[in-house]
Amino acid sequence: MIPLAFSFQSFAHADFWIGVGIVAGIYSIFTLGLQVNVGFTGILNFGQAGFMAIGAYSMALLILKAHWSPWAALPVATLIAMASGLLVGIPALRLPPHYLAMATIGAAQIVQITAQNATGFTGGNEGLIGFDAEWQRIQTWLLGKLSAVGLGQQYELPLFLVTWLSFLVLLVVLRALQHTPWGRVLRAIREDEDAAAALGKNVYAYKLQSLMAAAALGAVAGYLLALNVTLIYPQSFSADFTFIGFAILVLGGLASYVGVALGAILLWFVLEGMRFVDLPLAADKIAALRLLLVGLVLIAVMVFRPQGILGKREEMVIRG
Amino acid sequence: MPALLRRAAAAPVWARVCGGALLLLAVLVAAKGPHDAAQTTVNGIVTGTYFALGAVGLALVFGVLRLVNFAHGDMLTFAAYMALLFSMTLGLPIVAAMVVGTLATAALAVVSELVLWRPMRTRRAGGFQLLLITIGLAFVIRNGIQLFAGSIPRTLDVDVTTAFNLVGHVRIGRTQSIAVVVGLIALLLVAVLLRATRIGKEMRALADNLSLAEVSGIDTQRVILVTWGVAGALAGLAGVVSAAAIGVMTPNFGWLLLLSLFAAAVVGGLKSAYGALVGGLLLGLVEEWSTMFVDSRWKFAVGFSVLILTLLVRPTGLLGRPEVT
Amino acid sequence: MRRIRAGHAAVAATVLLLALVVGATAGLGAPDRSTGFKLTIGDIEAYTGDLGSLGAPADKAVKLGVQQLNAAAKKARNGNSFSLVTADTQTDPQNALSAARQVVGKGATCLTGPLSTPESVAVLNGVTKVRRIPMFPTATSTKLRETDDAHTIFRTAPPDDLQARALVTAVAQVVGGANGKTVALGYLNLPYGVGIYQVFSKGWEALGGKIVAVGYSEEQASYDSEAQKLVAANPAAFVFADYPDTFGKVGAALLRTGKYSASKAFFSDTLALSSIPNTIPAEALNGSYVTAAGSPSGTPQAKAFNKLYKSASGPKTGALLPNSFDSAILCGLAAVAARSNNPAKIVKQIPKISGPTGKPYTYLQLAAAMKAVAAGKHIHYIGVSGPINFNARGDTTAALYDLSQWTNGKLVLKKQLNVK
Repeated sequence: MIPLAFSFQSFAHADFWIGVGIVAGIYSIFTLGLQVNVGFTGILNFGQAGFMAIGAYSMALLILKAHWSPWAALPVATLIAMASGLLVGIPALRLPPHYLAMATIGAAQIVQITAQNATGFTGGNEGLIGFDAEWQRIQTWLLGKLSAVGLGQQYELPLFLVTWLSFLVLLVVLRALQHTPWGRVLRAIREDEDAAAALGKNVYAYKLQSLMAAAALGAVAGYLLALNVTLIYPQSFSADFTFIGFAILVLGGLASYVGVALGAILLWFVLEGMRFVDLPLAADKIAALRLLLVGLVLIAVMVFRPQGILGKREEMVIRG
Repeated sequence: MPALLRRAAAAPVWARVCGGALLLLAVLVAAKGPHDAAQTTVNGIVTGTYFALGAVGLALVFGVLRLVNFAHGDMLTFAAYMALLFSMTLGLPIVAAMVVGTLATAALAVVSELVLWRPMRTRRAGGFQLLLITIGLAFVIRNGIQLFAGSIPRTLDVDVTTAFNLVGHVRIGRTQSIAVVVGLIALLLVAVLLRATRIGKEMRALADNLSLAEVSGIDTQRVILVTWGVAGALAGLAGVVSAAAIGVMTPNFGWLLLLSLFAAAVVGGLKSAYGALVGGLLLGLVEEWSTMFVDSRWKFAVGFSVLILTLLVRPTGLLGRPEVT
Repeated sequence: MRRIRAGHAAVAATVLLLALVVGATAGLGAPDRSTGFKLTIGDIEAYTGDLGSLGAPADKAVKLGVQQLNAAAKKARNGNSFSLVTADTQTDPQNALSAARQVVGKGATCLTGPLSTPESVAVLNGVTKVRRIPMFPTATSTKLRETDDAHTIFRTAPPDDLQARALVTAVAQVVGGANGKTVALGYLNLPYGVGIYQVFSKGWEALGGKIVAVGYSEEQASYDSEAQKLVAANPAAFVFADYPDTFGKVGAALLRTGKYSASKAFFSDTLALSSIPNTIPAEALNGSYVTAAGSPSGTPQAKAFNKLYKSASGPKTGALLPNSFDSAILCGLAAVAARSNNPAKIVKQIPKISGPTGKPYTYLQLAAAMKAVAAGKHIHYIGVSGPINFNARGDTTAALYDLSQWTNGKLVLKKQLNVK
């Protein structure tokens, strides 16, 4: 937290910090998907950014090209993302863990390259804009309500509230699922796949469901990302998004949904707080320093506290 | 004809892969003419050599340690920037600087084994833990380089413009041809090391079955150390020759290459060094061949499609054997 | 127990976050004095990422602009002062938002940059539109014109469709007409390259010419197949819409084919550098043509700016430097005209300092220009990048392009093209 202490004035930058809060929220939802896969099922899903892209692009294309209402587009886009999870999972989940990781990275790369190059369909490199008219209306309405408490000038606050509300809803749902038989089977698979299979559970089907759930969570993160930057752009969905998601995952702790939020908030507040540290360095070097820090955090957590902040050591059972 | 097919099916996988590639080449010659087919084949062998050099190191480490090293791409960058550093500060001739860069990368790999991987193994760290450490290490190496060198593009300043006709009008750059020859010799040496030396046999034994190898009295710590050294040297060589032959590098270049190296190693079978060699060349060839039919913008999508298709047909890669757990 | 505590932690973290955010809003609100104001210009540039090599040179140009503003304010004795804050957009829309919010948080009420269209769209919709902060992006995509900006975006750099048309004109003039002639077009698969590729092909084909286009990306391990495809077309001219980093690699591959001749090649403004960097083989450029927007290089202000830029410390080459410099001057002049650092007031004054009517001033008469606008006069700022004429969309209506030729490692101006 030292970077924040450097200039307390920076807390006056309300827009900036609300913006950071939105990013942390988007990453939290994104990483919930990784938590379902990695923390609770033991699947190494490295293609989460690809599912996020499919969700965001489906939503925008349904609205822009098929002229659907967003309220119809959102659930259908989520289903499309889940279907893509199924499509990737059917072959990939039969693979050994590391091959699965590579296959999911490969699939996500193909999604990104397609988004970049299928110019007529996806808008290509220029991206898609104009899918958020309905959101603009909601935002205006929310700002009207917020002005009653004197926050009408905080234009980022509506998205901030919607993002974290979505996170809380998903958190409640996922925690409830964790205690259902379904959730217990997933953990059993993580602990011992063969034992779960011996108990008559269709391990493969459960793993597919887990991947589909992650894809749906990725899609939700994708919608919020799209609303935040107001455009959908292929470069936003690079593999780096997934890697930072993994850093958040292990920082917060495996098999802890709450840890995901904690990891995301910590990481992003430190990363963005570093913008306020005046170092006698060129900007490219400061950017390097920020990502160097991500790397060091990852290594330090894995060496000294592999269970992360809220995780439990006995839940760290990923084979491979 | 059926007899021929049966015999083809019974041939070893590598023979079938080579046969398939040759068949594909014949089709390409028929479809696009001998010049274009030959030229893209040469281009494919050039990129395939970079991929193979990088992927073999990746496969050696995975074979022995069951560790996917996400920092492997950045070891390529490290080598190239070390070569740059030595040629700029000490005024070393570029070839000498490249040798130093390669050795420095081998040293980096050995040091990482001694200070990081070995202590982590004695702590009985899990595979996931180690995997994430490699991701962290990748961030640290890449951004460490950027912290010192900045993000501006750099060049190793070798002659990248001279080229000659190989056969007919099929061209190859002079530096590229040296890169291919040096790369293939290095890979041949690795093959000899694995086949003919005691340490090589021990490495293969570890890759086959770690616990069995331990029981049979192999000094596993030493074998692992040598594996890291060889993998680091190969990564270093891949870094310096590709940076030199391409002509321009940034601190990102190894990281951007990493996914292709993964694809090459997995296509080949991840555990098998020979597989990685075949996978690297195959990936390079298919990517360059594809430019005859689709725009280069799709090159990487073609590469990753090869990866996915391979896994669909042979879940453990072309030369990989089923996982024994 | 553990689970309950974890839940509490989540609630506590969320509440803390909200409290910080709400508490922080109390400190907001920039001081706004009617005379003797202090204008903070926020320069958001890509210091890292794809366009990372262009950020620092652009920032230097903006910095020089701010220095000129301060010197002129002293001379005009109007008590105004100008300062600069900068932040890194990382060539990424998400980070561009953070960068913009950071400089606005530091009091910036006029923005220069960013360099790319996706970043500009994100900043426009996320920060500047609703707060009515003027923004002068150096992004040149035509797409930016289609977005609703509530008249807050002003571009001194002409959009890519104009540049692509300038390229069409230039190529046609040099090769003697387009009809039946083939152009081999290589472009970087990023918004900039794709934009020029699309408009150029349309324009060239409309003149009866043929196009062989090859797109490539920055992370390829080789560019030989691409280069061979381009030369195999046996074109009358090569056209490249590329950045220096990639073209270094592509240029080497082109030379390896043995069939490339730089004297047949045309480049867009990103290759209009003041010298050939060591990452690009000189033979790939020497003899080639470059179009670059609005540096009417004969003018006194352009000569003075070039001298100023070269003599100041920092990077020596860059792209769209006159445009970045002019952006800073326009921010300052508009604020003086508004007698305020209030962004909405600045936005309103920008039409009053741009042409085509009004008395012309260059930055060399900045103090006089300040006095004129302070007296409520309509002036016409003649930038280093050319006369500033904004249309209703905040774009320059017509543009002057230099057609220069690389000769022994130096760009030599051949002629100037007017494009509408």
